[in-house]
Amino acid sequence: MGEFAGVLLVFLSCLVVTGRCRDDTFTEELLIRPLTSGHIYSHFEFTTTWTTPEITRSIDQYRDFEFSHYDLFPRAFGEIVERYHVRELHLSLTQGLWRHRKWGYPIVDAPPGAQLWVWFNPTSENLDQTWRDLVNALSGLVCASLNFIDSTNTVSPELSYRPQGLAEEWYAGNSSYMRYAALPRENVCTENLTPWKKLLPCDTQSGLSMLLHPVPLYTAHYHALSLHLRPSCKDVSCSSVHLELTQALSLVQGPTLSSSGHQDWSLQQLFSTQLIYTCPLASMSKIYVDVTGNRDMKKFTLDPEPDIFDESGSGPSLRQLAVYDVQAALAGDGFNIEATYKSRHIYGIIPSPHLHVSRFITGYGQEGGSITVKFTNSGSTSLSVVYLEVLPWYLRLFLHTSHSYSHTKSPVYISKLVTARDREQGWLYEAVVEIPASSTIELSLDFTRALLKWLEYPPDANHGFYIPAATISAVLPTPRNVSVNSLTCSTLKDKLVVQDGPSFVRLHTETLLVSLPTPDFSMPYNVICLACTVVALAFGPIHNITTKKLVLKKIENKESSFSRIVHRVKNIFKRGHKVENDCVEKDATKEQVIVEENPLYEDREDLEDITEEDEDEVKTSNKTENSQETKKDR
Amino acid sequence: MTKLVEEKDMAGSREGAWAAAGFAAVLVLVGLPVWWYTTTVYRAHLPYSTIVNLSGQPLYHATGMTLVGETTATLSVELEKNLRSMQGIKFQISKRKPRKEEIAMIKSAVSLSDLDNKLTQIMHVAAGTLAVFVVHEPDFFESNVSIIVGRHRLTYVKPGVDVQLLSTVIKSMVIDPLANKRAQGSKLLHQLPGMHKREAMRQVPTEPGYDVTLTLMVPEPHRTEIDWDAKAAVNEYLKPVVNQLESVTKLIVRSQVLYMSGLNVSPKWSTDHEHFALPQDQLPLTINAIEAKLGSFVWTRPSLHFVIYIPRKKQMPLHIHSSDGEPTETNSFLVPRWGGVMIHNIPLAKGNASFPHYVTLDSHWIMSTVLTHLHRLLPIPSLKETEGLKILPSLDTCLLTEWQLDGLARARVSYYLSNIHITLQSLCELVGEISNMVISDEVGGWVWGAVEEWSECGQAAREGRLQEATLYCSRSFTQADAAFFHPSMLALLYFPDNQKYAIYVPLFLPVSIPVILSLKMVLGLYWKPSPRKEKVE
Repeated sequence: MGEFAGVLLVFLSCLVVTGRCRDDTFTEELLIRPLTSGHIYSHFEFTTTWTTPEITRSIDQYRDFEFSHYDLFPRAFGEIVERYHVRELHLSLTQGLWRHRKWGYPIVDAPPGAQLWVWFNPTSENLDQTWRDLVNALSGLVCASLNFIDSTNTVSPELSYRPQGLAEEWYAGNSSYMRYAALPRENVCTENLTPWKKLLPCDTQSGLSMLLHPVPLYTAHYHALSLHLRPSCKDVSCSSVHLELTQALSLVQGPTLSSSGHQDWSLQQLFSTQLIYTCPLASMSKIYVDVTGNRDMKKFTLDPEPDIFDESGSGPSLRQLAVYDVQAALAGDGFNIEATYKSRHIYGIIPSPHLHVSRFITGYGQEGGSITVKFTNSGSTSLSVVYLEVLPWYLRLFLHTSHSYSHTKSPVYISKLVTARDREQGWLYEAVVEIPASSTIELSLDFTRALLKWLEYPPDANHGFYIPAATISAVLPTPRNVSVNSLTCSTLKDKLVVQDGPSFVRLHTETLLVSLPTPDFSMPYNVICLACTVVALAFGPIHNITTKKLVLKKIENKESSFSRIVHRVKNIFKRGHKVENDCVEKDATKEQVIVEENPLYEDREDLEDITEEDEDEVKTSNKTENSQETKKDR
Repeated sequence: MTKLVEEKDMAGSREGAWAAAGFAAVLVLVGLPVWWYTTTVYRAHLPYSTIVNLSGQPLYHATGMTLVGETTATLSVELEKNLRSMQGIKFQISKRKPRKEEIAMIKSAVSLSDLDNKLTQIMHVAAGTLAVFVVHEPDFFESNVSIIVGRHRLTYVKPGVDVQLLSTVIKSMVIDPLANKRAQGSKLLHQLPGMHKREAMRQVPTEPGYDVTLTLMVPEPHRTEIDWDAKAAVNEYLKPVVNQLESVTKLIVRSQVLYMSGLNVSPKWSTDHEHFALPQDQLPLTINAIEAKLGSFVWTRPSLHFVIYIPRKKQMPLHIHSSDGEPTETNSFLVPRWGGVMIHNIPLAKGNASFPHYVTLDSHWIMSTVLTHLHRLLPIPSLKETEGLKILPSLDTCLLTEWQLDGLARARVSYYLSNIHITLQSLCELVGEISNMVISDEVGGWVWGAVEEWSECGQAAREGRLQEATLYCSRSFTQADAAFFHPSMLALLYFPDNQKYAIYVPLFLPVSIPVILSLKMVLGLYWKPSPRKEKVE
């Protein structure tokens, strides 16, 4: 009875507050953080959560979702999730590189290019085929070339990409349910932004998505679009679950220094537009400005004044946020936030975060090389990190020489290794590396380059081949420099609350460009032509030698029957000029003899002996005929 | 001396000729097969002749019809004569006298609908057949009515019924006449008068399944908050029809809400009617704006979209005007082969009411419009009550009667048959025309499968086994389509001929010319020696 009353109460409260009880919510949030390097980091997060009894059942029982009546959740995406047994999906499309050393850790880290990792529900269907179909459907949805994901760049790492949403241990520990792939070459532009925006319930008609104008977005230093779907808890106690779709967009815009050297910024300046309407469907619409160390507005002032300040964390991980409620602030006119700095921006040494990693190629020429990763731990305790390297098969690794060298020999435990098979499977090298306190260690993987078939080269082969970014996952002892360390929350507001204690970070390194030995692509045609010419040149003489014999013969006036008649007619007319005829006759009888030399001909002496006689019988008879005729003529 | 040389020469030229013959032989016996096997386009064997044979097979449905009742022989003879003219359908009329229990049933029945239900239970009219019952009791018939069409497969007639009218009714019950014309061939379609042609083109192409998407469009969610339980509405109204159609075609129903996007219309205020008028000629433009948000990235089934549009406040109330300037009754329009759009006006908020304004939609109106549109998009036969004809109203208005389902199944089988015919025939033609086309074993297998099922389907249709025909045909259609649209068919299509010559000419020309020229010498082996010998002697 009490339960029933409770349900009734909830139902009534829904009716009172919104007029009806929605089973889905939509929130939109924006974080603006001025970085020490003078850049401005802005992170949009649009979250749609959905809970129905069916969804709860699917999440709990690891079954496929079955949606049929969509409200705020985008149908185009929902159909893909439903059809391809997706439980958790993370897609990011990034342009530019996030610089951890200068900028700290972002809210969502993404490697340059496209990255997709998906946890599937346990199904009876062939997961590789499902994955292939899924990437094709997704590439249609976001207009990206995700269809280039195939078995050669897909892996299932053991430790690096554990489920971010709700998952029990038996599921989270079974990497056969997950697939990971990255396309470092993928370019991101408005054609990806437009379909991404279409998934938002308010589109770009109103709300924070109005700020997403392509021109300022794509002139930024770093730009990352992402789409995250996961089952997660509705509240802290996790008494009920919901499906959460987060659409995030991160930007780092260049130092917006004015002529006077101040780091002033405003919404108008950053996004070329102001906020005019709120999204009526959003249950929360907020803008946060990171004012850490500026609580008293000494460094810069904000106009308008923020509604409230949120503070969390302590010591070096203190975070202070100025919060604006856009729905309340928007009263007809446009809404703009302006930050005015008191003093000029001073570029100084930026203290590096706890852990940062850089990766590069060493070696010279096109013979061998090595991928070197440099881990720097600036903290006072040693760290163990998970290092994941996914490499294409055309780099042939030498695992026996892979080693780390530093002051103290630190161990490397390989947690998963998949060796490459040509044209079928790439390398997966996942290792746990121990980094001692305040030190730098280097790990190198030697490789040689394979020769590709000529059709396997991309259109601009001389540009080189991109190698996807490596992934480093670590649990840092403190939340210093970490943007988000409470991963279970749904909204940015809750995520930004700093929780003391160990914090999980996942970093992505630089992508690499390797040049492989590249042939001249007109080569096949040249080879065909050359080979054919050689064959033809060789064939001609061989054919001649074997089928024809070179013989000695007298060169004579070859007279055909026609010329003979002409000759005869001429003679009839010129009967009077005997003398002349005689002369002609003399010339004709003076037959030249030429000896054709053939080194292959053995009977050379014979040949000389028979010079006189060696004539064709027919021709001889012809000749006798001719002489008889001439005699007659005389 | 001369003789010796000659012999030597002879031997030499003979050797040469043999060598030339050897070259030619190697070229022909080794070169040609190698060239053939390396460049030939793989083609699985296709059943061309079977396809040609099946194309000529007669295309008709056998439809059994039982005439029950004490009648004169002329009724059945007349009926048979009248029905024989129908294209695509062959009636097999059988006649029998009513059984005792049937007569008892008629005597005891209270009303006609009661009789219809009870008679159907004891008569067991098989699927795909019809029964005409001659009822002598005049109480069931209102004045002027001589034919009553039941909810199942039974039709009741008065003894002295007009045979002409009865046969017309039966003809339009059996199959949708326009669908029948369309299935018989596209040529017939062009001969149709304008109105009918549009009507026939409206129906969606026949496929094994359809995605039905209900889209609620709320362009101003800040002003109005719409409360519409799509799930309940679908379960209540659409689900029974979907279940009914399951044996014929699969419908997958989904619904979505689109906010902040409206139809791209510019209605004018009509002072006569006190509302905004949307002229009919603007209708084709309306759906362009939302088409981008309706597609699916997953399914390749054709979609049927039903859009429920809540007009903007400044355009409220909005009504569709027909070409004569009068508002249409339904305030909705049908988009041929696409779906339907309905405009749902909502009561305006009072001047000083706070936003948003909560509105509950009229599910009954929406779903009955959707069902009407759905009926018109599918080739479902329908009857209109005319003089002398009465149709028993269905218990549930949205449900289809059994004879309608049979008619739909017949029309779909006819479409399938003509589609399979066209697909396979054009596949054969294409393969004949384009020599580069590869036919893999997979495609070949599909074609064989499609042909097999096609002949089964035609056979089943001719024997009146409607359900089997539907099953065979949909399988055959799927396979024929899969074969026709398989990506491997296009693999070599764009390999240009001049590139082939560029590769062949440098090799084949210098090699083949000497070989061909030396053939003269090879011929000499046979012909020349004899005359020469005579001369020598």
